[in-house]
Amino acid sequence: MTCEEVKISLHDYIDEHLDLLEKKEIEAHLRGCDKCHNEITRLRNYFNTIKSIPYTIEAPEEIIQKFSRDLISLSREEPDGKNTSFAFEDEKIRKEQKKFEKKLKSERGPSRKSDVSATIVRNSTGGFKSLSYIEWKKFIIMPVLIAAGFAGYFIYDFQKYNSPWDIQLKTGTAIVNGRLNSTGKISQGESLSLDKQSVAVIEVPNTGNVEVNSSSYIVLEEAKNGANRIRVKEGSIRVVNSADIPDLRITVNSSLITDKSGIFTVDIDEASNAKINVEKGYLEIPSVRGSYNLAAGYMCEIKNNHSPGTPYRIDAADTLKNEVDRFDYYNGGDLSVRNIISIAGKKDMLTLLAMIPAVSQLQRQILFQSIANHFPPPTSVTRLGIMKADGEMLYKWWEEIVWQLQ
Amino acid sequence: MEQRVRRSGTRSDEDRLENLILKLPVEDRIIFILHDLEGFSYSEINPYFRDMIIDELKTIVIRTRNYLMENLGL
Repeated sequence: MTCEEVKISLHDYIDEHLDLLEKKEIEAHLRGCDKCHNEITRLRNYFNTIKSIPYTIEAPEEIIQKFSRDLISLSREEPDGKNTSFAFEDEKIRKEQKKFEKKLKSERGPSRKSDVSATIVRNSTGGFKSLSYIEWKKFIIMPVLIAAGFAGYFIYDFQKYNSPWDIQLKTGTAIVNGRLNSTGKISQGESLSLDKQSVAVIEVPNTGNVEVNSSSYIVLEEAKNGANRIRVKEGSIRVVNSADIPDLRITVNSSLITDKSGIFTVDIDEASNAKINVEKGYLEIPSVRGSYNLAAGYMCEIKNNHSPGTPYRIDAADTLKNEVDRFDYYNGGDLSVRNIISIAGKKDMLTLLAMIPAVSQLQRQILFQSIANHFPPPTSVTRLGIMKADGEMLYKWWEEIVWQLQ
Repeated sequence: MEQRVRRSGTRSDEDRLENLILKLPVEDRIIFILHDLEGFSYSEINPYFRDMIIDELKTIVIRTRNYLMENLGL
């Protein structure tokens, strides 16, 4: 196995998702390779760190409630209405849980299930033997409280749905869910397909509109205030905001782009590679190095089955674009970083800034200096913070550069 | 809403990790918490993110781990 192959499999290895043969191959490699050994040590340190810190954060309460409630209902489901299957299902769940916790303990130490989920799992799998008076009381009150809470949440949540959305045809015909659309509406979960002669505009409630160009295929994944989401599968769209606080996210390949106001386009080619161009405002783009902001005048690529690449100026020189491509997708390494620094002009500094989390400490020093030559960091941004790729400092410096570039 | 539940150990370490976690996009944060902190498996989490396949959940967890390791200086 090569270091690259091991690097890809290390997370599966530590999560115990590999078969015996793969596991042995990795272990053999780790014994002889300091670099990969350091990487697994780093991952183990990571688990020790998150394990050593008590539960300071929980998932949003409504999610935990929904998750826990569903776990209970799943564990109590009685196939074909036969009561006799209850004990069997309980036993099966208990075995699965023990098996999984054993795996986790071997790698990460004792289970960290929080009080909320641990209580729920205990209640759902522990049977009804030897329950004390207090436990009985809990047993009666808890479902009532959970049901009341869930009903309230359900009503609150239901009010947020804003489906269907209006479609205005500019030319041609609209095919919604495979059928010729005559209502001028599209609902959550439905797809919109346009042929070569058709162009349509979708009105997004409280946000603006999305122009869907010819030969495009999109899906309205979620039509809900605070969580509107469209998936672009083929073709291209142009989003135009008319709201101060936009409420739209776009799914491209497996990346979720968050609209932060303005105007932008998403183009997907035949190989399912996407290009995102921002004309006005900015977008938040997820990345393996943490999310970054894509400013007006900049673009980025999201290749099929890859994380979003480094942003670069729409008008940047082709040599710079090619080098960024090599850096992102062809292991350009140190050479690419050096080339990008030498090609980049003052207006390309946001490209250099976005590269900082992805490069070595040495290269961070060089990038810091290169950017600082054009845009000295604001007082709240320190060299040390940038060396650590501190997200907040990177954002503050990004804001400063964007402001000066305007 | 995120909740503070219990506290012990070094407060600054906790605050730092908490801040990093709070900066994660909501969906990434939930998936990370359920998998790496709560100990649920990908197949247990998957039914709650029906628009994602398990590989996408894995990608999010790996991305979050890299982000946290990088920012924790590990």
